[in-house]
Amino acid sequence: MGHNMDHINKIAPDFVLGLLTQEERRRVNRHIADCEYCRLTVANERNLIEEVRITLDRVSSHDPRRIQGLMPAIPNRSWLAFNFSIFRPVAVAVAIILLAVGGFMINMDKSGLYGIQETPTQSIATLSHTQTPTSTATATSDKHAESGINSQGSFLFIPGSAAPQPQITPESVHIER
Amino acid sequence: MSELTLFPPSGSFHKLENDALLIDRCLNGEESAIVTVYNQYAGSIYRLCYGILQQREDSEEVLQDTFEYAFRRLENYDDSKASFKTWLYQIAISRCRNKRRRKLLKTISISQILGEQIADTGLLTPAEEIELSERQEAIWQALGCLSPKLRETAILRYYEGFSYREIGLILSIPQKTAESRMRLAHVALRKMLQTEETMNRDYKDRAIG
Repeated sequence: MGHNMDHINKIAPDFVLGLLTQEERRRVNRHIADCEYCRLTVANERNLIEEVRITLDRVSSHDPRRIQGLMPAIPNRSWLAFNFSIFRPVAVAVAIILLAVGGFMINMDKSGLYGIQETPTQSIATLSHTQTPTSTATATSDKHAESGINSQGSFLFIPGSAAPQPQITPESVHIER
Repeated sequence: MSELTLFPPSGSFHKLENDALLIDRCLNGEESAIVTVYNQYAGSIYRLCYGILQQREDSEEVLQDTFEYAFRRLENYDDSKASFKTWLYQIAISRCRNKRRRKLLKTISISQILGEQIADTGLLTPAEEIELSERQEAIWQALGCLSPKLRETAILRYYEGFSYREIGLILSIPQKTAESRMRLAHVALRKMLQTEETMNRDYKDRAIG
């Protein structure tokens, strides 16, 4: 028995599983041609693979008609192709446009360009925009309206208009001594 | 028998041209082409699922899911990335994993409620109508004892004859990982079956003695 390498027990699985390089395979083939022990080892490994395959084949054998009966419903490909090729991008584009327009309109509405919102501050704002101080208010209230100060002396914040600029008069300045 | 002929050809290359034509016809809405695709691959997909899940009903469900998804998403298949068979196997494997995960969750919740120990391989018996030899029964049980990752690899290699590159593609792992999983699976199977053989021999010796 001429050995050109040690027994191949350890690499026998790799040999049968096709995990060796071409050169390694050649060496193993040369070795098993001479070594009966290794030839048997390799044959055992091959038997195992064959047995597993036969078992799997036997266990998973099935009635082809049963498998055929399990076929899912055939989708309407022409409709699907049309649907996916044209409808999807169009639907996405329309959705984006609607979202953009919707968002823009909401912003416009918030800034008071559309309609009158019935909130107390808005009413004041409307009053200041639509009615001139001279026609509806006294000279004192005119002065207050122009300065942004109400009759109680607190500031009015009028949305859509510039921030109120308090007027400093000698009466309004009180210096504690 | 050389190691090259030991594994059956996976058939994923010589069918490429046919597959491309069939898929084109399917995409054009030809019903007969869809039926042909199903008939061509359903058997092997079912065997793969049954080997992995070891449950007939689950395998049938996964088979249906796989083809339903594949037919719906046929336009997503890219023949430059993988063969059609590989793509189908990818879908089937992912569905098998989902199925196993869902079943495992159910098992754990019920077992936790009842305070029972979880059985690993209690359901791993082939259908009643199939008679197996003692050795085949042992192999089937041993396959069931492998971890899911090793079992998937072993079935793809032993039974389907895929190359390690294809196994890597199907399981989304590097080729080297596929090789090492296969080595581990083979060694584990050999070990389990040797233990089984030794136990049987001891039992017979005692019975004779």
